[in-house]
Amino acid sequence: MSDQFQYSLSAPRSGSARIRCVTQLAIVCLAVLLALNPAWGQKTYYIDESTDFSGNGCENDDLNDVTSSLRNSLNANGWTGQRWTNVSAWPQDYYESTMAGLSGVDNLYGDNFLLTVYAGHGNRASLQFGFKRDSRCTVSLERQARLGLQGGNKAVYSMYVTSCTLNLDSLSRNFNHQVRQQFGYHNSPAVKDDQPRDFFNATNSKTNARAWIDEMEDRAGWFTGDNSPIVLTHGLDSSHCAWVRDTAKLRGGVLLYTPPKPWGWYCWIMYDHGGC
Amino acid sequence: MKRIFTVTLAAAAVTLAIAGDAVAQEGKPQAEERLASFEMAWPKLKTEAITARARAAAEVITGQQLSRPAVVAPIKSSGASSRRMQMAVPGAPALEIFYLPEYNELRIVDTELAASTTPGREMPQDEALKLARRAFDELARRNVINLRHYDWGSADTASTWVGGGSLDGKTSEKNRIEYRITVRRSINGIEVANAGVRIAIHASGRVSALRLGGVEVASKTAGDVEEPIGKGRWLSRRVANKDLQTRFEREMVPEKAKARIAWSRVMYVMPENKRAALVEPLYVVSYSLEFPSDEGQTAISRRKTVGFSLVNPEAPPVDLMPPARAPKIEKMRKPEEKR
Repeated sequence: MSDQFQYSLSAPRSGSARIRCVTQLAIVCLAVLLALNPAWGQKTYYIDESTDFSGNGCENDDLNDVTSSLRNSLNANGWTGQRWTNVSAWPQDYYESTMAGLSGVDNLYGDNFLLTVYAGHGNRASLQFGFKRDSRCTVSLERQARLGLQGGNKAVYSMYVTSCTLNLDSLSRNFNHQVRQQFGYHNSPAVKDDQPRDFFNATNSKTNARAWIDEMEDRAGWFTGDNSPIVLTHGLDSSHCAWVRDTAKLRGGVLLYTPPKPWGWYCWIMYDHGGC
Repeated sequence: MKRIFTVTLAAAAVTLAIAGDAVAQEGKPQAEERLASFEMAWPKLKTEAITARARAAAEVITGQQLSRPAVVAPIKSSGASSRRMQMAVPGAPALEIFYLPEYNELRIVDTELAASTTPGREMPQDEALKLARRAFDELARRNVINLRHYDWGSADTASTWVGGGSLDGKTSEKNRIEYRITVRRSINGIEVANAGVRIAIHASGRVSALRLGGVEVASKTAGDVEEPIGKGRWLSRRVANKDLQTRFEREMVPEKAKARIAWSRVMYVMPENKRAALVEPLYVVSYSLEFPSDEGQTAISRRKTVGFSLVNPEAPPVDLMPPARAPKIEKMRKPEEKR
């Protein structure tokens, strides 16, 4: 079911006007969907994770593995995809393949699946990988990546289990993508091994936005309020954005298809326990 | 002249004495400072105890006396979620209630208030703290928490924000829709990282969420003091915070990196890989590391938390957030792409 169709059902209308509107929208949207939406109905994921940051040219602190249990849960729930780690996780996976000079392969990896996940280190609108490749360790999501656009063009949701990537003060640097939602942190988070999995599982009944902030506020079992999880949602306008934020459910299978483009509005929700 | 000299000398002596005392307090542990180790454990509660707690907490959130107890609702899911217990309280259908047995943690959200993201007004923080304190007292009155275990004065205040705007930048807004007030379990003035209460106060003035529970501490109370029982022992502090902070900078920060400290304090932290343990307070530093990266940029690590012994200067630092398991590395190498 298309965005316009579902969204129009939730908008207040009356009688025959509503039926006519719904019928027209359904026909148009079905046609558009079939022609243009490569990710429609496909529960696919792509995960890159860096845990080894020692002596590989991209120095930082070694990390715990936070996506293998997420991958298992995705697989158990009918999703299919790929997970690559360390030497097989490349910055180029997120570089826009149509941009000159980057040798990007997001058309094959980072932007070729409905849900795309990176776990490692980061900074404002950037990701740091553990192994240097072609002299690169990082991805600037502002300058080098175009998710849901151009090469690949299939990402609908992106998750960054990294420090500061969705820091509120530089949120606009994450605006160059045509995705429905981006999940990340306003600060440097403490993330236990299974928390991304628990987030995904929670989206069976909760919206993505609520599940992300609820599951990520603390490292599981702690009351220190270490994390400031944030969800950035995109929509056509203010009410459509709020509708996507309050509707989308990954595991619940709600809004698992390419959004209408281009988006004109962003909306975000965050538990604020401090920033970067 | 002699009198002026005498007064000046006396003033200098007093100043030196005060300064010296301050230095002594900062630089050396006070001789009488006693600490204690306690047995702590994640308790395994019976279903009746959990549902009774859920009902009492639901009454605090709704402000109503609920006629029937919470009932356990089966979760239609596999994997980790099945390790959680979902409950429903008749008479409070808007409440989403989960219990996490692994952490003895009850989480309740009022879904109607959570969906109310357009506040009519900005609530002052003082007002939110008063409302949270009222809910906190109600939880104690219903025996969900023990007031003696908490120091309200050390409560942390965070916020839930919503915002948005147009791509062209002509319109933007940011609103606080909730205060989230956390007070942790405290033992003789030292907080426990793994037990506490978090109360969310919605902009409407209602309680919108609760999170409570955590480890249990084996202790007895003598006057105002919580004393260890079982294997717990009284200890004498031998290392000052200042020295441990210096040690942190010396031992934990690599040469090329810069530490960004989120917080540091003396705290009890339950080892993550144990269900029960003898826990002594540590000097705990929660931090991230900033490293140089491509083209003059920097990369910031995810959060790390490390603890230093207050009683044994030779004890190695403790990683308080260790991996739950060894990283699962993909065996296959990703094929080189055709560009």
